[in-house]
Amino acid sequence: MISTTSEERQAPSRPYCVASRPPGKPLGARKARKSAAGRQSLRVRWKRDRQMLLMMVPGLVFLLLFFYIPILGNVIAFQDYQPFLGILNSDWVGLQNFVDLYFDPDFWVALRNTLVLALWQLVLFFPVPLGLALIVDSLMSTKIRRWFQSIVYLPHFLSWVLVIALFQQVLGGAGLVNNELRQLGLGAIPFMTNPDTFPLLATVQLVWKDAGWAMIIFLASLASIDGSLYEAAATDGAGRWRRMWHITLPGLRSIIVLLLILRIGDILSVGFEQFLLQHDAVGPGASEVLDTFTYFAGVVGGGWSMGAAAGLAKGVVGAILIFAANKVAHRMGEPGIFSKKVG
Amino acid sequence: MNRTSQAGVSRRNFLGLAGLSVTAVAMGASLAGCGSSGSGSGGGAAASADVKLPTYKEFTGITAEFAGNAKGLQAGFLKMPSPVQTVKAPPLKGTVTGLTETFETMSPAMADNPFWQRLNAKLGGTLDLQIAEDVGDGYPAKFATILASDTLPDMMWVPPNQGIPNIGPMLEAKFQDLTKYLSGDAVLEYPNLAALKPDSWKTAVVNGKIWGAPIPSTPFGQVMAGNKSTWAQVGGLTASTADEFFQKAKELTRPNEGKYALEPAYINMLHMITEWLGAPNGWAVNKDRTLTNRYETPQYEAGLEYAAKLFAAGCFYPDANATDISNRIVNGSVAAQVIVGPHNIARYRNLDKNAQTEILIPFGFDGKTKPTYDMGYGTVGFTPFKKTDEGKIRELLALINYLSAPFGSVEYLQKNYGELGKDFTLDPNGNPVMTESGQTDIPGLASALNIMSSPENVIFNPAFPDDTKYIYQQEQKLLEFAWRNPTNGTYSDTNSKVGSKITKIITDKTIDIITGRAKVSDFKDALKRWKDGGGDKIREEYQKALPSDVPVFGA
Repeated sequence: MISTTSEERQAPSRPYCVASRPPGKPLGARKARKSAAGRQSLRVRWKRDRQMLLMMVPGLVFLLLFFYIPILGNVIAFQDYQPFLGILNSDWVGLQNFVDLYFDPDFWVALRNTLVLALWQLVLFFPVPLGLALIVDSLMSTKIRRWFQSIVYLPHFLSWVLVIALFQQVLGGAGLVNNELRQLGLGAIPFMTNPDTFPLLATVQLVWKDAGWAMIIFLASLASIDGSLYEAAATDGAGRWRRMWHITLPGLRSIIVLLLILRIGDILSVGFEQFLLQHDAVGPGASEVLDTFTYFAGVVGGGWSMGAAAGLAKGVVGAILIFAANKVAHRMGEPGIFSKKVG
Repeated sequence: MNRTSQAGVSRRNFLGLAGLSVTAVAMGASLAGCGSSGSGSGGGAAASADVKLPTYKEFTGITAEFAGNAKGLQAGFLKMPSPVQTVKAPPLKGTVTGLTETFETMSPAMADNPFWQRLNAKLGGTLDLQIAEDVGDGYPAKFATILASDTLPDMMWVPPNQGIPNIGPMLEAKFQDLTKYLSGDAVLEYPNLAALKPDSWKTAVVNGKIWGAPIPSTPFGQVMAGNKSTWAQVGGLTASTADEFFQKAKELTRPNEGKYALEPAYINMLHMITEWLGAPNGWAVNKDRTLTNRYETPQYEAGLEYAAKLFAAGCFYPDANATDISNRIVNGSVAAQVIVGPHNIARYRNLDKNAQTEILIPFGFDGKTKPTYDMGYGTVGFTPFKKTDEGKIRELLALINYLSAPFGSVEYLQKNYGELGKDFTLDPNGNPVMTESGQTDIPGLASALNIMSSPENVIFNPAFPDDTKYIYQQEQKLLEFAWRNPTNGTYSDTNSKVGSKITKIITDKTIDIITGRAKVSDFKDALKRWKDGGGDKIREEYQKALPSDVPVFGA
């Protein structure tokens, strides 16, 4: 007799639902029917979903090992942690690390810089990938389209070290632009070393590096918009702009909101290497962000606990922001990143 | 350039590099004091001053062309002496494990590395090393991870000036006290360890106990180096006043030609300037035996002002992240760079064998002040053993004795060049040249061995005997102004805990001031934060531990 499993293997496209189950296995099925409107027994659900569940195991183990178990390490934020004593033998200090953090002016500088940079990124960076996606989508020639895509993707794969070096070569004090300016008898402009314009510089660097990459998600959801809508609109006499306004952008609305929420939750992570590399060029007054603060306090300064405290504070703020943004999304009638239980 | 000299200097080169990367972030007070700590009670640091150091017995098997001395002058060799045997029996009985770091490209693993296998044969056992590479968070991160894992190898290199915190309690908790085996005449059982100088041994004493053999590096600190042909345009890399230096620097700065006077290592350059002003090395010992930090001196503020003036005149190369400054010294696009120790001019020969470089001897800022010259820490730390029994301790000490064999010994040759005919050959002058397989197998492993165990350093540039002479002469000149950091070899709990953090407050503000983002008057706030954040407490602890033989500054 052919078992349910092997039958399903032969017909993988069959949807997983009790109704479609062949009548060969009466016991579980009957039970399931008995509890009709309610939930099915664990055993039935296991039988039904085991392949799916087994497929999830590697992913779960990965998350457990590298995300959830390390979360426990956050206890060092409440300790005077010393690597040679380990977590078990280090002294407990309660909230002292958070108190120290509160009274450390460098922490507040880092927080301010992080928020300023986040705001710049939100305003200047966020719309760029969307614009790029619309441009790519409107290109008719596949060849040009591919070329354009490749060129704007490419910088994503360069490390920050290379990106900063490239900017230095072009905009630095001994770079291309300033050398030209000097040859023309004009003074050099300190693009790379002016702390006041640093947020702009940092955002431009980010746009150059990552806008093309961020465009991919928008492109994917553009492809999912029903083409017949455009045809219908065109038949009704809607021009290019009207089609974009009434079809494309509403079609992208969910994904825009989703990405925005994710970005807001992540808003305190503005980057690390980018700011570490330019730490001395513009000074910590402009370039110290929470992540570099954690690095200097923890790894460099040996204050692992204080570093962990800063990291934890950052994580908590991030979580609060995500929930808040998601709530706002629900109010706007969007699904957000997770929905309330329906029915 | 030929391979001989490259290999011959590589040891000193990477030490220089290691030193530089440390000094770039934490100079002055933390350069010397960085790292270790006394016991929790605070009394341990004082005890460190009292321990009986191992008896010094110089290695007399070979004679240097230029003799060294106890003040720190390094012996100079014009060619490789014929090797002398210093170890009678192979030191090992079984397998010994260790953690160390390499500053060269990693060598092939033991199984694929005949040089390593031959070394094992000579050692009489298996030396199984875990070798960290100098990337990312580097050694301290690897060290901390292994320490936390609690499966320690038999020995671990401890670099007190690479930011390994709380060394005192760590040593007490995990490592073997070796005082009984090394203090006083006990060390004579290990002649190569007895040939390490008392100044070196001081850095291996914590809490009044000796924790391992020190790993000597150059005793000299930072110097300013430049290309002779660049500086010839303005009369050489010399000056009699700071104004004269300023004029020369300005003349060498020609942005239109892509030329700049100074490497943008602001902290290091400021260090040179404060030497001209006669600032102390880290701490000044006052007449009443109290300590004043270099940051608290008027010289430091005067130095800030002068460095800011150089910056405003555009004398610093404009890319603070530039990593190719040594190349730029060679090609003339940057005129001066700060390196560790005069012997380190060898690095320019590695880039271009025709590169003629020179170093600046400190001069009086106003032509009258007596300048200072800051000697370095002198070692790169020590290599303690995991707690174990006497038999194993003796075996490990014998191993370190073998690996610390002096320049000119059979063991030194084996450790750095391997076996004649297989790993190296001799050139017509009798200097070793690595074979092709030697060039793959040796440098990574030799670097890892040399950072955890080393004899006293010598000056040796086989292909450039004139450089050896020049370095030897300059070292003598520098010694005339030389000061050692008075806290060398003593430990402050607070410094090991918050030292690098509060030093960052100072260095950040210093760079802000030099680059014009802050005013000299802003420095007072940073200094206050430094004092309140631990600086005053560090001073107190060092004062308590200050050995009575440390001279008063300026006396």
